[in-house]
Amino acid sequence: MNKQIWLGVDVGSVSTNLVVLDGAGQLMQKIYIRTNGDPIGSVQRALDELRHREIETVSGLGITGSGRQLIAAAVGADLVKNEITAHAVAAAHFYPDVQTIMEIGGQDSKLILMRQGVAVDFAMNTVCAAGTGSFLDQQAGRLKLPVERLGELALQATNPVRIAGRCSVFAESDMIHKQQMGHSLPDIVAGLCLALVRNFLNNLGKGKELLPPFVFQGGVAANIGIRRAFEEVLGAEVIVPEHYGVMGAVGAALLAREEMQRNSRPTAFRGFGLANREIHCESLECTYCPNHCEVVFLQLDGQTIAGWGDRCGRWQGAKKDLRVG
Amino acid sequence: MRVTFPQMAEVQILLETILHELGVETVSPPPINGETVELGVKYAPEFICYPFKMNLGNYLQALQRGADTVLMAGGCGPCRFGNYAEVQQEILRGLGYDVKFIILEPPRAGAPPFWRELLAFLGWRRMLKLPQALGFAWKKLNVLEEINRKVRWLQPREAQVGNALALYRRYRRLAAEASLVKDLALVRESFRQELAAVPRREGYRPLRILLAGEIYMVLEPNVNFHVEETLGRMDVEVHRAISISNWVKENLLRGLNRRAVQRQALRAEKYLRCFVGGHGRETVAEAVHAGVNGYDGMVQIMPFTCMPELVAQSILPEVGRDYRLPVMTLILDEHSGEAGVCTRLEAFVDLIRRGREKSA
Repeated sequence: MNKQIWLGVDVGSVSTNLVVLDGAGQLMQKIYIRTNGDPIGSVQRALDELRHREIETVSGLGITGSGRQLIAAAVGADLVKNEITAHAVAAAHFYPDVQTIMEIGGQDSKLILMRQGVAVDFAMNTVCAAGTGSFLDQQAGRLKLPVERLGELALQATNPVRIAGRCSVFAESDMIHKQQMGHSLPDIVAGLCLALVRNFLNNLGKGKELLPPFVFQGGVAANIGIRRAFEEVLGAEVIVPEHYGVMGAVGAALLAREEMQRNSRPTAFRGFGLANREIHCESLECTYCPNHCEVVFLQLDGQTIAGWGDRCGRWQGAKKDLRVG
Repeated sequence: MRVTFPQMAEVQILLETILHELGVETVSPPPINGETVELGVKYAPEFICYPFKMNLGNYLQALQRGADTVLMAGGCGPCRFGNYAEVQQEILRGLGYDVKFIILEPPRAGAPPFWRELLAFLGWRRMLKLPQALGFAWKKLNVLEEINRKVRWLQPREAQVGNALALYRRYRRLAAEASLVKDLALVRESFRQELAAVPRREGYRPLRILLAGEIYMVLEPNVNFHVEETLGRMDVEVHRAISISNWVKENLLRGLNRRAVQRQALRAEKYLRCFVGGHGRETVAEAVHAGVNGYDGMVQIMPFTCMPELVAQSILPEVGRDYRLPVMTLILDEHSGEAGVCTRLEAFVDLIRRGREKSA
C-alpha cells in the first residue's frame, strides 16, 4: 500500500511548528522553531531539518497560524485554515468527547467550546495580550529564570499572593511590589499563574458554559503552574495533550487530509528543495486610488508568484513576472 | 458656502445628490483611509467611539480641501452620538478652523428646531426645491441599496469569482452619476438584466448570515474591513436590516413607520423591555428575527466602548441558546487588525459549516 504522509505547519508569532502525520493521523515527527520575526526563514529551516529525516512523498500540506497566507503562497499549500478551526480539529482528534479547549499561544489566547465533536462557540482575546506566552517570557526574563522553570516554581508555593492580572503592565508593577514586600518567589509566580487564568476566563469565558472534559494546549500548556491554576479555578481535571505545543499544526495536517480525500488532486507542495531557494517579499503602497492599499509581492527565485493586500484585485491577478515599483 | 459631511456608506452619494439639486456647493471628504484614521485618532478623545474619530478625520480632510461648513445629524437618548456634532465643533474650533456646523436634530426631539435649522441653512428659495431633490435622492438611494442587496445574494452563487463585485462597483458608480430620474431607471433596468445573466452554480445553498449592530460600523466598509465582501468571498449570503434608508424611515419619518418600530420592540420584548440607546434593542430584535427565520448565524459589529451594543451583546448568548443560533461579536476600532478580523470571520463560518455537515 502506498504510505501516506501529511504535513502540517503552524506559523505563529513566537514559534513555527511543523508536524508529519501518517495516514492514520498519528504523529511521526515534530519540529519546533522560534519564528524570531522571520516566518519564511523559519519555515525554510524547518523543511531543511525534515529533509534529513527520510520522509517519503508528501500527500498533502495544510497551513495555519497568523502567517498562514504568506507561507501558503510560498510553499504551496493544499489547505489554509484559521488557528481556531485547526486547534478544535486537533483536540477532537485525540479527545473526541472534549467540550472545552483552552489554547494559549505566544500572543493570543482562545477558548473554544465543543459539543459532539464540533465547535459551537469560540472567543479570542481582543484588546489585551495579558496572560499570553510573550508576557510569561518577559516576566521569566525579568526574574532571570528560564521560562520553562516558572511552572515548577509555582508548584512550590505555599500561599499564592494575589496579583493584579488585568493588564500585563500593572501585573508587572504588582509583582515588583510584592517582591519588595518580601513575599517568596514561588508564591508570587503561583499568584501570577492564578491571575492569568482568572484573566483568561473572565475575558473569554464570560457568559459561556464551560463543561468538562477540558483540554489545555498551546505553548503555555508546558507551564504546569498555569495548568494547576486552571484546575483550581475550574474545579476539574485539565488534560494537557502529549503534543500540546504543535496542536495547531496537527489540526492543519488533519484538515489537509480531509480536504485531499474529499477531492483527490496532486499536492501543491513545492517540495523540500524550497529550503535552498530564494524566497523574498516586496511591498508598495498602491497609488491608483485613495484607498492606498499596502500591497505585498512574493518572489520565488526572482519570479513574482503572488500578490495580495489590495482591495480591488488589481495586483492579485498579476501572478506572472511583474515589475514592482 | 462649501458643505462637507461624514463618510458613511451611501451618505456621500445621497447628500451630494440632494445638495447639487439645490445648487449648494459640496466638498466631499476622500473615502476613509489611513490619513483619516490618523487625524481622527490624534484629535479625538481617546475613549470616544470609533465613528466619532472617523467623522473628525473626514472633516479635517475636507477642511484642508476647502470646505467651510459641516452638515451633521444630531441625536438624543442614551448614546454618545447626540454629543458628536457639539464636541466635534469644539475640537475643530480649538484647532483654529472657522467652521460652521449645521446640526439636524431628529424631529423626534421636537419638530420646530429641525425645520428652523434647515430653513436657516437653505433659505426659502431652496426650501421650495427641497421636496423634489429629496424625492430624487430617495429614488437613487433605493437603487443603490437594491444593487448592494442583490450583489450580496449573487456573490456566493456566482460560477466564477469576481463577476458580482465587478458588477457592484460599476453599477454603484453609474447610479451615483445618474442625474435624471429617467437615467436612474435605465441604470436599474440594465443592472437587473446583467445580474440575471451572470452564470451561477446550480442548486448551491449558501450559508445565510445576518449582520447587525451599531449602524456606522455595520454600514461603512472601510472601517469594518469590508465585512460583507469578505463573508461573500467565503460563500456566505449576507443579509442586514440596517441601512441608510431604514435609518431615515425610523428617525426622520417616524410617524409613517410606527408599525415597524413597534414590531422591532415586540421582537426584543422577551429579552429587553426598554430602549437602551442607539440600536441596542434593535440588535436583540434582529437576533430573534434571525433565529425565527432560520438564519445560519449572526455577526454583531460595534465600535469599542459602544454602550447600547454592549447591553445587546450580554443578551445575545441567551437568544442564541434559545434559537440555536451561532452569534459572534466583533468589536472594532483603530487598534483592530485585518488579520484578526478575517481569522474570526473565517473561524465563525467554519464553525457553522462544520456543524451543518455533521448534522446533515
